[in-house]
Amino acid sequence: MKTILVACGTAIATSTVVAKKVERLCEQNNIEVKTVQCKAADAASRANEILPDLVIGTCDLPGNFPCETLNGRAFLTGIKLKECIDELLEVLKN
Amino acid sequence: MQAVTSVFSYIIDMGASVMMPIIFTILGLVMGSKFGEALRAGMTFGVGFIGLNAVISIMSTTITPVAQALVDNLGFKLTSIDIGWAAGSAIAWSTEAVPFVFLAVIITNIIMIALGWTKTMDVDIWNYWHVLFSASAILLVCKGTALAWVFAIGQAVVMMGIIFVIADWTQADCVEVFGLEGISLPHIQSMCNCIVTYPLDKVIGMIPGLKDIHWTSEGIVEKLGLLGEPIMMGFIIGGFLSALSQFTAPEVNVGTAIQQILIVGMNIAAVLVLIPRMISLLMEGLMPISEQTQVFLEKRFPGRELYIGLDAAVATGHPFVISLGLLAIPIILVLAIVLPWNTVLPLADLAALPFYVICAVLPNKGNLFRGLIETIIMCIIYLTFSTYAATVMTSLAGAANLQVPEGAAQITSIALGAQWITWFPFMLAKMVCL
Repeated sequence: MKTILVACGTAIATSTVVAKKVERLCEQNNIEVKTVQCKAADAASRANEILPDLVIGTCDLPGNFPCETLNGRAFLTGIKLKECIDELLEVLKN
Repeated sequence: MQAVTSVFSYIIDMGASVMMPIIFTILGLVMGSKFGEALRAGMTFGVGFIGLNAVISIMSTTITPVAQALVDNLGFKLTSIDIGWAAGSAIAWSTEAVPFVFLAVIITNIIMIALGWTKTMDVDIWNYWHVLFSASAILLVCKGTALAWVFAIGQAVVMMGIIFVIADWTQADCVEVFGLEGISLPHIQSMCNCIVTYPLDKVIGMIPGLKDIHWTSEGIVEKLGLLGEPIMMGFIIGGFLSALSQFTAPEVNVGTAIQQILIVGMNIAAVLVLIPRMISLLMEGLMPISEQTQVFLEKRFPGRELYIGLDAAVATGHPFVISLGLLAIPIILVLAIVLPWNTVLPLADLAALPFYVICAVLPNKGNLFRGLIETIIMCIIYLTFSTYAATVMTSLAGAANLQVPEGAAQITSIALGAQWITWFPFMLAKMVCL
């Protein structure tokens, strides 16, 4: 089971969209994941607390992270989505 | 015609939790989703709405006696409780205006892009709720007459038209300050405020002495971080209000007073944490429609160089925005007490202030001194219009079968003040229709 922390401005709106899309994507690729949502401002401290396998942000994420981070804006815009998905799957498969 | 009307009112009478799943299923099918997916999404929305209702009723039962006691004991004037943007969005997405305004906004966007009036392709369906809210407000107050519908849809078209243009204008600054390449922010509650802050910034830039002051926001996030947490904020403000209401009563039992303070604090903390969870369900319910809309729009304009219009949330992670958002908390609380005409008690949307200060970061590129001045001016505007919005927000919530506080208290949100430009067509509609 992989854990992904998804961060956006309020932990409500855009992070829900990204989290759901990532969950669906992982299901299609037979990767078991759990997503946790949080606010961008709390992302670094939450990440150090729950030690996820990956942090995805819909905005810039301030602070130091114990794992890889990925800009999830492509899930909202659809621009360079393919590259973003490839990167995501690569991180999760390792 | 009679039959059509009675079918409509039959459905509307069942309330938002049944009506919206039906509307979203149909809307999903129209936009090209599969039936099963559309139905499940629609029902998820309904579940979120029922959950939200449960949470708001916790808030109402908690806050009603506290607000009443504050009014009785102190003549407290901050009786419009800020229950946050989330409740406003839920109400906006739950009225009969949804399908019509939704389609009107998409068509407006397509026509404006086709005519070259805007480069922003707005795929942020969720935030159509800003104009949906004002449309619903007009329909409620003007009692759904044909003229009211003209105003409701007309204002949605005009307001979104304005915000598409503002999104274009501010796009270059969004790239420079936030690094949002190819992205613009057609988000009324955040960006309409640029109409005020950009000229204001020009004025400050001309005043000798002030124009050269430059402060940075380094270190603020670390110092004030905990303040912005809804769970802490809810507990502290809820507990404080409860204390204030009890220790001003003629007879006080300290033991029970402390119990009450803790109970009220925990309940308000619970509300501020739970409302967003419910909204996540609403968003999930909207996702198929929003995905299909994106596909639909992109097919219309292949190869055109366009900005993708997103939720201003994508800018809220920037340290400038987070810092100013935190500093705005004490600013708006002090203003709420000082402004003689204000009745808003800022609460839930204190956590959403980063959205409402983006406009005070963009023009000055993160100069905290100017940002603070602009934030103060904007907060005055937000409070003024949130106060104005309280009556109609309370009635709309009642009409959507949400449990609203009784007696002295009303509900509103700072978000509704932040979409202040939409209240002008509302006033106009009221003048013409009534």
